[in-house]
Amino acid sequence: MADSIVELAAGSEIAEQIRPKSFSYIAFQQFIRNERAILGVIVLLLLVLAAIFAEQIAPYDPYKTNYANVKQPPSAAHFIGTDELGRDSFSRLIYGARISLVIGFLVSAVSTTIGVVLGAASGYFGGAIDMIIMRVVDVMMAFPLLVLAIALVAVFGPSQDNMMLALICVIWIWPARLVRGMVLSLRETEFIVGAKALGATETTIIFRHILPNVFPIVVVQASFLVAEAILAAAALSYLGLGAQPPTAEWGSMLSNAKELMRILPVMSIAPGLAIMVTVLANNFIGDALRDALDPTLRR
Amino acid sequence: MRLKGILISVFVVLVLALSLAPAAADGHCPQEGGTFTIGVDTFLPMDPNTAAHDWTFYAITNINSMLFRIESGQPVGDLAESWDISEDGTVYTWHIRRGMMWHDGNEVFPEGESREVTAHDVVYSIYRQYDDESSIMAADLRNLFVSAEATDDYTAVLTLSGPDAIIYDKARGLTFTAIVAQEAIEHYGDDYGLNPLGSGPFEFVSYSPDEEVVLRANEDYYIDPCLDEVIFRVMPDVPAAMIALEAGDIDWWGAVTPGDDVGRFLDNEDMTVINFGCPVATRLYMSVDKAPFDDVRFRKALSHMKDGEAINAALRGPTHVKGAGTAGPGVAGYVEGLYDEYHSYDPELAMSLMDEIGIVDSDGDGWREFEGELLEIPMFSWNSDPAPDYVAAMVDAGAQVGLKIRPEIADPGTNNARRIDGEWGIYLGQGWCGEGGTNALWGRNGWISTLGYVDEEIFSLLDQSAQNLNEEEREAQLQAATTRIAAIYFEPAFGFFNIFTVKNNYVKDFFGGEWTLNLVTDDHNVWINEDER
Amino acid sequence: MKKYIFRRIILMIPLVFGVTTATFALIHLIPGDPVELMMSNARQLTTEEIDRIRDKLGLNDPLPVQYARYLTNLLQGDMGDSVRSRSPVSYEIMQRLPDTLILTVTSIVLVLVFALPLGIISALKRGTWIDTAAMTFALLGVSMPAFWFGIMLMLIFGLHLDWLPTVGQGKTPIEFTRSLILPSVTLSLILLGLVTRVARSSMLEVLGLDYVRTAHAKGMGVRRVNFRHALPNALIPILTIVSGQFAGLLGGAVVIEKVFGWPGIGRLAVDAIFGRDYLVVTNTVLVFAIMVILVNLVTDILYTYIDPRIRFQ
Repeated sequence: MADSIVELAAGSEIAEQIRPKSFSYIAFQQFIRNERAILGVIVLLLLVLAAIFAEQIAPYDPYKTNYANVKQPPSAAHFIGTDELGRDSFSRLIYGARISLVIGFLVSAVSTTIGVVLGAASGYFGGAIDMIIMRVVDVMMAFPLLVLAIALVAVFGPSQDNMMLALICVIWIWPARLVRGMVLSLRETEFIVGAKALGATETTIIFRHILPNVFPIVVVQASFLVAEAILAAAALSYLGLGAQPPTAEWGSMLSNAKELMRILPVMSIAPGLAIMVTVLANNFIGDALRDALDPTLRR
Repeated sequence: MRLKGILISVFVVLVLALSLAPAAADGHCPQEGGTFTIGVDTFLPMDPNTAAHDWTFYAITNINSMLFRIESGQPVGDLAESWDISEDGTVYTWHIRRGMMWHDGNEVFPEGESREVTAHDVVYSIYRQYDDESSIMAADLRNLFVSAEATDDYTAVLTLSGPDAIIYDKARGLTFTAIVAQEAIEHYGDDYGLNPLGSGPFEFVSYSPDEEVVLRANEDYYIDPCLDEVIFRVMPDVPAAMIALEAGDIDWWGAVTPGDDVGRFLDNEDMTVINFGCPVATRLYMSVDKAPFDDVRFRKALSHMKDGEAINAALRGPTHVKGAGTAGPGVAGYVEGLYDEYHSYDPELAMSLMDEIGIVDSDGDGWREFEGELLEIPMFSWNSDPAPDYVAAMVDAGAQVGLKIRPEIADPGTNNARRIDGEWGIYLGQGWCGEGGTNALWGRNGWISTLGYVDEEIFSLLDQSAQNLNEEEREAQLQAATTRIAAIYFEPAFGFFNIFTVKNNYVKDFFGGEWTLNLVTDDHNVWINEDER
Repeated sequence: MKKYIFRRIILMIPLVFGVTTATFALIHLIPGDPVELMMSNARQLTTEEIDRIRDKLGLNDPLPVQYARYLTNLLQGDMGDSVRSRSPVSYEIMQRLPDTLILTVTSIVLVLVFALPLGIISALKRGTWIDTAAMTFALLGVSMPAFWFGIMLMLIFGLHLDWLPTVGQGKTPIEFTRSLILPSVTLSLILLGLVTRVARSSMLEVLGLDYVRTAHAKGMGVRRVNFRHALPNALIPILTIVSGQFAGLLGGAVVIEKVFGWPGIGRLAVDAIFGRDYLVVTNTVLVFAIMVILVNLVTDILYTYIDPRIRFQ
């Protein structure tokens, strides 16, 4: 009762003021009020800074071998020791942030873009396009994606770029399915039907009406895909299918540390923790984004 | 190639022999029964025609009898109690041990209905390998083979067209020929490898691919095995297997133990480290018919730009052995001092050699060009430890002298395919200690080479040595080949590593495997001291 | 209902065909062939020997011929022979399939036993420290590389404490169970966090629904409402997640089988990819696909029982 009186009294002016910022503003408010999200953003920023300024931060050249100083335990000179070629593990860890972040964000961004385009086309146009795309998706869903990625890397040849390509090839189906489902339901909603009736072009409908509605959910999913991609990349690198030596990459550092597991456990622990922290920060952000952006969750 | 076996660390053998000889000599077991669990990284079906694989042969040589076994590098009698060789080295007369019975209690021979193993079985087994052109019968034997016949039940005669100097060599000559029963081959057909049947000290019980193979003692064997059971457990993840070994989940790690673990096990009082006795070279090779590799000065530069000895020592740990060539210390054809003479670390020399050929940095970007283009050399290697580390070390060494090296690391299949296609680049190489490695590089005696290594003098030295039964002459021929290769062809070397296997000390009277795994012989009968377990 | 299941099974056929064709094409695109790979073993073969073996294995035939032969044999129940081990592929698969099934099913059971209560409790105790702790735990779970977690477990429980076997598979029932613990716990990590979170959120959602509120309003006991009305409805999304992630679980099993030396089908598939063992790859992937499709089918059928509304769609 009280609410409706205020609404009536305030009239349309206030409503106009609130409206432009309503969705993104509320979402932003909600996001920054989430402590975990802030923590995630800070950690991720630190990682990005470490990646950008690796040359300045890392105490040593991560590729410089030193055969007189191999397999050293942690010390003041080498915070987490040296590896089997005498390279400083800490410096390699810092440079590794570069590669893991690039893999995570690039794979997520590219596969989301592909997924959105194909999913939207499939959902909006239906017919043969939908039929073809969805059969491909169905076939791929029947594979364990990691096995498919392994086979793809074997075809392309193991390297960091090819691993990313393989991950993109298997990950795009998730955003595609998500977007297709949303577009399918949006297509039948009144405002789209209305827009069509008013003579809006397909481009207008897709870009003005459908994609903006799909966008928030896609962003949420993309943030989780960053985490997925980093974990999958670590697994592939562990199997020797990812970034190739001497590249300082966390997954291949883990694979390398296998042999020294019992002599220098720190070499196995540190890159694993680094992966975990990065993925955790991403998941914090993803959770917060979902709470903030997904209208269905906002009660 | 008898010398090769002397490679077994004499010390270990002596200590073991001294401490355990009384037990074996008495002909009874200090402790009966028990299970001997052997960890291996891979395992194939146990058909001697297809299983060109050391660990699988460990099982085959306990299920099946061999004409002879290899012990400390020397052939010792098994199914053949003794044998004579004709003057010219072309006719082998094998005298078969009497009373050897095929395993019974299976689909082929019901309990108590087995039959004696005869010279006809030997002939059958040899022809089975010879007639199957895709079998693993060694090329030296296949090339020289004339006939095999049984002159009576207990005498088999093998005739060759020329002497075969490597007839007793690991994975060459006759060591592939385990004696099988025609009935079993016919009964199981293509599945024989999954149901092997023989006359050896242990009977086959079960085979679970990628998991384990179980054998039990053959109570009808001419010596009573002390062990009740032998299990081969497949563990593809070597670091995990090392943990299992230390925890006593496996008793012996039959495959290659990584250098760092050897160091740890040497310090462990409960473990014995056994030297396989055949140092393996790690080196680089390349398509020598393609520029710039066709210029010996460039190959020389590749060798001197890296600190091979330091790299090898860091990556191989205590298993590392300094040297160069394909034959290591103690192997026929080994030449001392090659490393210092041809492969010492000298980046200055490497740079001046490259300058000399015109591989220089003319555009000032820090990387050298060749014929006006950036010289970026792919370095091919397979993807299991420590191969990628050698690549990393080469990339770093190249960077120090301005030579750009691009890592191309792939699974063994891809890596092999590249080598067979003779792709342009440098290859990391290892394996086949001794002349096997030399023959493989030069494409002689049944090996193929696609990398353009051609030298008539080396060809002729290798061919002669493969048929020379005089050990001293053979050694001289192989050394001459090794020296010529080092001086003229420059295969950039890192050094050797010893292959070690590791056992728990409660395994007694055991001295390791050398292609044939001799658990029960006239001189040894492996047993487990359960009190120490 | 019968008609529905029948139609679903018919629809499976083109899917399985698609999967087989895709795998067959993919594996043959990989450079190198199995015969060349054999050369990395103890002995090298001459060029003529290689050609002879290729001929014998039919690898010299054009790909379409090989594919047609594969399909014809498959329809007759013959999966062909493995090049690497020269034993029948069906034998190799049947030897290992039970091990992978035991591993994945145990992991799913572990997930349900731990994640469900955890998710439900944190939903019921929303906002308390229990909720925070459970959700942090769940997040940590989804953020760790599973194989790394496995290695850590192996170091702690296998080596330092020496409580559990590190690798391989025990023979006696007790040993078998002991050897199953570490790999299945590691594998369950892949789903643990996810299911905890889904359990919590779907429980929260259901608790907010009208009929649950109504039940509360009608004075039904809290416990009764939660377990009678809320829980069964909260289970549907969990079922969706577990079945939807089944393929992911099989993929995770590939790496974990490798780490723990578990003799499963995942390890077979990876080794075969590396070994260019074409028929083994194609057929293991086929088996994977059939399993995934079957699990999805069973889930869809289960839905109709849990939620009768679905039947009318």
